[in-house]
This record gives sequence, structure tokens and C-alpha cells, in this order.
Amino acid sequence: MSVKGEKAWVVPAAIVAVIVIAISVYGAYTFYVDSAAGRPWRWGTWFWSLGRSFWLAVGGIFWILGTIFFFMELGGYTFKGLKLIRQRIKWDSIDIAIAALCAAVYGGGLTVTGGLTIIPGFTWIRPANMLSPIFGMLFGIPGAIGTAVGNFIADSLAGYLGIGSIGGFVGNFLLAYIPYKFMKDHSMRSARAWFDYYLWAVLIGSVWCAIYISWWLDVLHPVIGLPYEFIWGFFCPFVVVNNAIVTAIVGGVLAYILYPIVKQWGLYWADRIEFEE
Amino acid sequence: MSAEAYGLYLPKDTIIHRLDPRAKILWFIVVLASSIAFSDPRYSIWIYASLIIVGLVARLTPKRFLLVFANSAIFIAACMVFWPRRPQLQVGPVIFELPILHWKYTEIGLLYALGKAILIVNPITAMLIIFSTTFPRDFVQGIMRLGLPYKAGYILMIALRFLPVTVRETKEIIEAQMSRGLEIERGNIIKRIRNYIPIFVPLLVRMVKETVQLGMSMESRCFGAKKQRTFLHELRFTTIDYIWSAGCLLAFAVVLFIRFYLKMGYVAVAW
Repeated sequence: MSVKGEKAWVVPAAIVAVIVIAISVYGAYTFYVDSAAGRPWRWGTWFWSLGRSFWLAVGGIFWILGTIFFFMELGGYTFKGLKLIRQRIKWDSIDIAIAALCAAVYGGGLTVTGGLTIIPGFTWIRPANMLSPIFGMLFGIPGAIGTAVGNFIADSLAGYLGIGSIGGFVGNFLLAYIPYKFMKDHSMRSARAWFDYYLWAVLIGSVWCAIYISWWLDVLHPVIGLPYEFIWGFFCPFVVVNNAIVTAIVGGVLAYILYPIVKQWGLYWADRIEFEE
Repeated sequence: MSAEAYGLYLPKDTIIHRLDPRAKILWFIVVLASSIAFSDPRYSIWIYASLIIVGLVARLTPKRFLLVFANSAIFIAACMVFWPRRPQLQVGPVIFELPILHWKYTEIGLLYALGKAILIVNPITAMLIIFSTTFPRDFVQGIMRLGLPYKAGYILMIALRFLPVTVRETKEIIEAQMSRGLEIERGNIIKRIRNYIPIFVPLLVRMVKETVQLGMSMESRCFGAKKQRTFLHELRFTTIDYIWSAGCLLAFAVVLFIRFYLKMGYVAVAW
């Protein structure tokens, strides 16, 4: 990209970064203030006020698209622009090792770092969530699969593994997949990369993951049994804020630091994947 | 440190531990399906009771039972807060009203909420028991024999194998950084999240190196050279597994009989 073109992205990148960080910090702040005051969380109230029908419709679109992406990628297909093409991931020992170690680090990280306590007795933000977009951006599909498996492991260690975890599996896959697929530059060494990061990895990724899991919990209500008000009025905004705040504040910096290391060791996804036009 | 040290697996010699993972997965499916069939908690509570009995037979530790009950309490609380307040469940006489919030609870509201809570709790408790009584390697082999592709199963197996290593490394890095003056729990929320950068950077750099080493060692052992896989410890479906599976299916038949022939075990709500 030319210097002029690069400069054109500086202001949009700064604006989107400030907006996304402000939204996620405000979400965390309102959660803290409302919980301390013993009243319902205002974000939850606002989400729920949009109605279940709204969320079923919107969530359905997110869910169908997300599921198509998931199975399409696993089936060896992807899209470039608007064109569906075949991709060849080798799934050799290196890809298997990447997926497994991403899963171990993500699952272990979620377990060890637990949650940042912002209200005593109530653990909340999961710092290891910041790893999911990084795994997708740097390792591609094996990294996204690793993130999904890591979430499965963390669920099992917490004793929460159930039918709902299937939604969590694909939802976490998407959290890593969206920045991998939609960001143009994963090196984080251009203003455009930072703009894309805040847009796709933080904002859209977090929202997509939360809505995907919530919609799954909603439609499988006869099997899972969670109240709709809990799903859309607490769980969904909670997951959005949880994912967004940690990825917004440090995820980009981590990707910036790690990109040259991953590239140097030959593990960057673009160096390992082949596309058949 | 062994792989099970950080997982849920509790190595013991009980009949539940000796069962084939596939028999336990069948049991999980029966627990889930039975819990769905019974929406009345006066019926589904017996499924929960059976899970506790299985847990006692498997000699789960008090700490593990505490985890079961703590998880159950969280879901029961969430269901009791949200479900009974739905307008469709506000029919019939009010049993009690919360003093400050003025939330009214009817009999049908309470029954429905408890039924839903048990529906959530039963499968996750069953899964907790499965993970507590099944060696991770055997669990992975079990699901691979049920059709999971070998490479997918292998990813899960290596991840579980490396989990304690990762946990140990993360703890070591946290301690090392804290000894250099890092205070993870200090500052506002932004500062506290930023404090994780010096923890995750060395962890991920180690991970990258381990990935290359692991990949090379797998390559040197000709990973993926043959389609047909063999296992050092082959799972066998023994007589006890057949008896257990038959028992599960029989119990499910009884559930179906009660629910659909006798038409009992559900809470009728007009949505």
C-alpha cells in the first residue's frame, strides 16, 4: 500500500479503536455499577428489550452463516472475494501440533487465569479469551480448531460440558476464524491492519460469537432449558463485553509482537496453505 | 506431572471406572433424553438422584460432589429467577412473593422452573461423572471408535496431554513475572488486562517452539503414514458394558412408558 493510502487509514483506525474500546469498557463499567447497586444490568435490559423475535431472526442469520463457514472450511472449501474455491490444508504433523497446542494453551489459559475479579466473590473477565483471534490470525484454520477444542476442554474442566458446549465449540471457532478470514493484513504493521482488527476481531467477532452461542441455547431450549431472559438479557451481552474488552485492550499488541516470531518459524498460515483457483 | 493431575479424571478402581467409554456415552444420551422427556421435577429429580448414586459408586471425592452441587445451585438459581416470572407461568394461586422485588411465584411457575433447572443440571452432571471416571486417552479412543476422524481425536488427545504442561508453564511465568514486580490484580480494569501481556507473550513463544518440536517428533515417527490406526491399549466392550447398556436402554423404555403411555411426568403450560 502506498504511503498516502496507508495514511488514509490512520484516522479511521484510531476512531474505530476508540469507539470499540469505549463500548467494551462502558459495558464492563455498567456491569460493575449495576451489580453493585443490586439492579438489573442496563445492557442486559436493553438487549432483552429488543425482543426474542428480533434476536431469533438476527441470530438465525448469524448462526446459519457461521455454521456454513464452519463446515465449508472443514470440508476444504473457502471463499476468496465472492468466489468459492478449494483450499488444501495438509493436516500434517505441524498442523495437528498447532491445533493441539492452541487447544492446550487456550484451555489451560482459561483455566489458570480464571477470571479477573471486579466484584469480590464474582469472577468475571476471562483474560485468555484474548488469545482466540490471535490463534486465528496467525495459524488460520488449525488455530481456529485449536481455539474451539480449547473451549471444549475449559468447559469440561469447569464441569459445564453439555449440549450447549456444541454452540460454544463453533462460536469460539468463529471468534478465531473471523479475523483470520476477513482481515487483509495480519502483521498488525499498518493502520489498515489495526482498523480491520478492531472491526473484525473485536467488534464483529465478539458479537458473532455471542449471538451464535445464544441462538443455539435459545433454539435448543427444550433440550438445554435455559430461560430466554437469561440467554438474551444476560448471557449474550456478557459474552460480547467479555470477549471485546480483552481483545480490544491487548489482543492487537500480542498479535503485533508474535507475528514475526510465528512467521520466522514457518508456522504462519499463509505460508502453509494452498488454494486451487 | 501426569495428564490427569489438572483434568477431572480421578483414578480409582470401581465398576464405573472400568466401563467402556462408549457405554458411558450411551448412558449420557439416556440421561439427556430422559431429562427432556420429564419436564416435571417430581419425576426428573429421580434421574438426578440416580446420577448421585452413580457418583457414589464411582467414589467421587467430596470436592467433586461440591462442584456438582455448586453447578446445580447456579442453574437452579438462574431458572428460579427468570422462569416463574413469565406471564404464562403466572397462572394459579401465588405460593409466595419476594419482599422487595415483588416477584410472584405460582405453583406451576415453580414446578416449571425447577424442571428446567434439572434438565440443565442432569446432562452436565452425567458428563462430569464421565470425565471423572474415564482416562482421557480412553475417552478419546472411545469417541474415535464412534466415528470421530483419527486426526481430530489426536488433536484432542495431544491437547489433553499438553494441558498440564501448559498449566504449569503459565503458573511458572506468572510467578516469574510477579517476582519481577508484576501485580496482576492491581489497577483499573484496563491496567489489569494489560498486565497479562508479559504472561501471554512468553507463553506463546514457548508454544511456538513446542509446536515445531512436536511436529518434528511426530514426523520422525511417520505420523499419518498409514490410514489404519492401532492403539497400545485397545478398548474392549465386555459383558459388563453390555449389561450396563441394556440397563440404560431398559430404564429409558420405562421413562418413555411413563411419559407417553401413562401420560405423566410433564408440566402442561400453554405458551
